Amino acid sequence: MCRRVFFGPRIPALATVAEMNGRELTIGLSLLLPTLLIGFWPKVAINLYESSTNALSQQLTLAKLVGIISIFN
Amino acid sequence: MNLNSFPWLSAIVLLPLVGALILPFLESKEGEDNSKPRNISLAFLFVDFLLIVAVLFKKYDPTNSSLQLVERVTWLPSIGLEWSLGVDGLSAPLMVLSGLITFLSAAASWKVKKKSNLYFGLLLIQASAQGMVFLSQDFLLFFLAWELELVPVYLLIAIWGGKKRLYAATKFILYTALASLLILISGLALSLSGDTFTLNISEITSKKVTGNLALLSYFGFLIGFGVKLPIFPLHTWLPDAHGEANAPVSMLLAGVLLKMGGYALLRFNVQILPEVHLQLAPALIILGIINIIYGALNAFAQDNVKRRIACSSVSHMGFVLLGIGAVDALGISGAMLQMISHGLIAAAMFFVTGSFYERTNTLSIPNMGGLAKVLPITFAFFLASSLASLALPGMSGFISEITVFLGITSQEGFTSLFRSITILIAAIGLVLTPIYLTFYV
Repeated sequence: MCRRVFFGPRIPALATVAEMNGRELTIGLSLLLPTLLIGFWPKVAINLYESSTNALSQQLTLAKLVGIISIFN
Repeated sequence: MNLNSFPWLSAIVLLPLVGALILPFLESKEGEDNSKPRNISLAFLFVDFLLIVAVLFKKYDPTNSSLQLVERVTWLPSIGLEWSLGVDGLSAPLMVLSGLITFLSAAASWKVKKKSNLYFGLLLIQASAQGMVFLSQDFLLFFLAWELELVPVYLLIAIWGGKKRLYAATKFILYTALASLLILISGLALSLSGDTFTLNISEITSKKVTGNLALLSYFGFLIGFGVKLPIFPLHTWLPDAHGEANAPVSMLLAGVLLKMGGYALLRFNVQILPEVHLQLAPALIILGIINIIYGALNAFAQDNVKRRIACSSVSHMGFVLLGIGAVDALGISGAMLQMISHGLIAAAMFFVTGSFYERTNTLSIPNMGGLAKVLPITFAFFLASSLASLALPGMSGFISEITVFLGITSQEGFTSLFRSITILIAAIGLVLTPIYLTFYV
């Protein structure tokens, strides 16, 4: 997709379209910079939820144990 | 005023709604000037985003896994409905994501002039409804918010969409409304089961429902939330909705709405029905693999840029299913991170697509070409978001997908054959992503 849209044969009708302006660049960067931040320092995001997801998986292992006990009873 | 008892979460949820109530009283300048409603909605959404970040930073303790900042007010005693909000680790990151994406999508709607009062009002209502979905701790309140959020999205697609907007909007509302019915039935069945009737989610959890009722409710929830996620074969509304919606609404759809599906699967299927979830986890993994491969193969067949990114979303949300199906800490953590990361990346891709659509007026890949010379910055930006989407190391997609993989490999409960086949097929899906995003026409 990138290859075709950006390097493919030139379309004359699209030769004069305007570039992204400052506002659009700001919006785009405020989406891309967090992905870079999380990519290099995932703790930023993981810290927010880790204790809850751990508790959830803990609950799942408890449930597993209960299941085994109920079979033996 | 005592700041500790101030209902911060209600303030977060209701603030955009206040903005939405102001907009109808503005003088409407149809098709000319949208600066007033736009600036008001931008201001409200920005303050709301700051409020979310500040409250989570100051009042929320991420090391504590229980519900925090809980607010419970009896709303309709005759049916047991409570205005009950609370935040825990499942809702906190998604609140930040939803606040950010909604603000940015309002900013991306800079040039929307058609019925601008209504447009920005709907965005504000949408922001409130999303917040309520993620924060609500009462099943009925959650369900009301889940339904409320359908209305703005339906109208946003049906009024400001492309040529086939009515078809896409109707398909969206039919799929999601029918699915909601299953959610309502399953949720009420769980609320009524046992000795006591309760709508509170933590109280339903402590009932520890088992047996056939649990199994049936699990399927109800899975189909209901699966439409939103979306899970194959319930995904077909998504490419249509994305293809027809304008770019800011696509940002909302991909950045927030799909995450509601994943959030609700964790909150209801995993939290309330852990035993059934353990039994059906392999099925979720198989569904996840199908999503990854089928979404990727579907993406090859799309000529429309936005439809291709939508199919790529289906593929990436498969990793959320894989992570949830891995039933261990790593897998669920990976699923959460994948939701956050995909929300940011998909929103970025839809945003940049929208920005060049405004200029070129075409989304069809064969009708475009040679734009790198004309639009070097757009090119760099699009390439950067594609690289993020194909999980380049150093970007969030890489961390989340590798965590999901590790979650599955370290799950001793599955046979090693099942694990290796899962990893192998999911890895093929990963290899397909760069091909359809960059090379393949």
